[in-house]
Amino acid sequence: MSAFGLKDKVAIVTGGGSGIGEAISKAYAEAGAHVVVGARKQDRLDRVAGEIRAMGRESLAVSTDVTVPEQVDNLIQKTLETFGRLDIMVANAGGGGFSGIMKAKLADWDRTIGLNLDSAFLCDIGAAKVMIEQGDGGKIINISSTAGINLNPGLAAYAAAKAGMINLTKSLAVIFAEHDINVNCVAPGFTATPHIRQIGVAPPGTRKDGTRVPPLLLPNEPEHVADACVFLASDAAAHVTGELMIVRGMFHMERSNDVMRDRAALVR
Amino acid sequence: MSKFELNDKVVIVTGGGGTAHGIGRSIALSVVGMGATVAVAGRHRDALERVVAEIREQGGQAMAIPADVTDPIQVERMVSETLSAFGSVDILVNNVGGISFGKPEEISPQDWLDSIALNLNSTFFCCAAAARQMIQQQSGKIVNIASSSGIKGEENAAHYAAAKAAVINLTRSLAISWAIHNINVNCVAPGSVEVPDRPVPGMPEDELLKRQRLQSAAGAKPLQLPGKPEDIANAVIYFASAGSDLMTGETLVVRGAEWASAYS
Repeated sequence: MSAFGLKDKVAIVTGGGSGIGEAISKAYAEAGAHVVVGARKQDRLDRVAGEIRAMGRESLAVSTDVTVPEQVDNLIQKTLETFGRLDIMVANAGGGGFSGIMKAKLADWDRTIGLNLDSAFLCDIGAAKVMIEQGDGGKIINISSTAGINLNPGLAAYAAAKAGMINLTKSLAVIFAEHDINVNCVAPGFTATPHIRQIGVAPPGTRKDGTRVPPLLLPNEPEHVADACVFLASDAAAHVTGELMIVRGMFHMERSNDVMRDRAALVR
Repeated sequence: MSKFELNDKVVIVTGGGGTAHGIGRSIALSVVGMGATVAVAGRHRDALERVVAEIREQGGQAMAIPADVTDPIQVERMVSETLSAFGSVDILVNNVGGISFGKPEEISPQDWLDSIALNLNSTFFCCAAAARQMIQQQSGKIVNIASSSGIKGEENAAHYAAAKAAVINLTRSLAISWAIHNINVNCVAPGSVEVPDRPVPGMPEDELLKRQRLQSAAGAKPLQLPGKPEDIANAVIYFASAGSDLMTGETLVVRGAEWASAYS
């Protein structure tokens, strides 16, 4: 294939058992990579790994709590034992944490920072050590969130951790440049993952008046985020490092249109 | 197949002759390599014809449209000629632009106006003309080429840097306006790109030497060196393809770790 392919690359995707991580894992396999999926829930990982093998690529499911250094080491070690090398690390694992910062205890804060930021530190550094040793470069991709750029008052700790990932990306990009390791960040906006659909907060693709919402005014599908991750992991992005790619359409426009319509209806 | 293919897409590349760094040429060849048909527009007929010949030799479909895209009438003609030849305008790459050098206090008013015309006006005229067609199609992708100068500033080219900053901001506004029509508008901002053997017209000797020194720094790794035209072309392909369907209004900077020196 072209510079956009990932033929025979070995990738680790944390949080690879569901949502955006699952989409990244499958997109990588589709692009030709072998994919190691790491997350806490073994049954989910086994399902994704099975689907990747059905696509004709190799896969490994390693149950991992990415906030625990020994478990991240184990994830990387198992990858090396099976595939002999590591080309791509996607630090995707994370989660929203608590709401209501005024009631939060330090332990709540620590848990959220741990899940979203400590995990990226552990995965990025762990992967870079292997890549430096291999001596032929590598790609590290951190999955942040638009919450880390704008704000998210309901999830202040999460937003702070995601902002931290964006900045960590820049520092590591400078430090690893001499080793040909690209470090970049992807910040998805609101993404209609299966979980988001299940809890019923994904807006419908059709308006009340029966017209279709233009695609750019809908939330991301997980695949849209995955496509950006394929690009950044490929040779096509060889000269991109320390950068932030925001993946979001103009979903907020449709939502504010909705608010306007509802207000207009109230006035009537 | 791959999300990044451009099969059956019609692309306009302005500055497609690639007379300065060869970026326009590289973009034209690359989009054809991904399956597209290309119209290359620009002022230098010979350079355009050379690129078209090169593409046809490789079995691709291309046409040259000599046009000065700082003139809105010629921009309209560029779009209509593309339409009559190829039937649609799916992707527009606004690559026309150019740098000139001078201390801010010494830039003449005409230098300023010329830089704004070449780098900003051209981009706006082309975006608007292409969008009128894309709105009818209810689909399209626009990729503007700015510069990292438009983010970090430029000590000997303030007029250029200001115009490029405006291109980055224009990208955002157009993205908001045209999202409803399914038109993505994004921007690629190159940092230093390898200078070809022959000097860029108008580049002062010391600037050229500085860049050539940077280009050949002993022991430097690729991420510490200037980029290649292909690095820019690949970012353009990404924004031209279905692989970026939910990205709009964004700017991707392609400059390796060059920016490190500006902040550390």
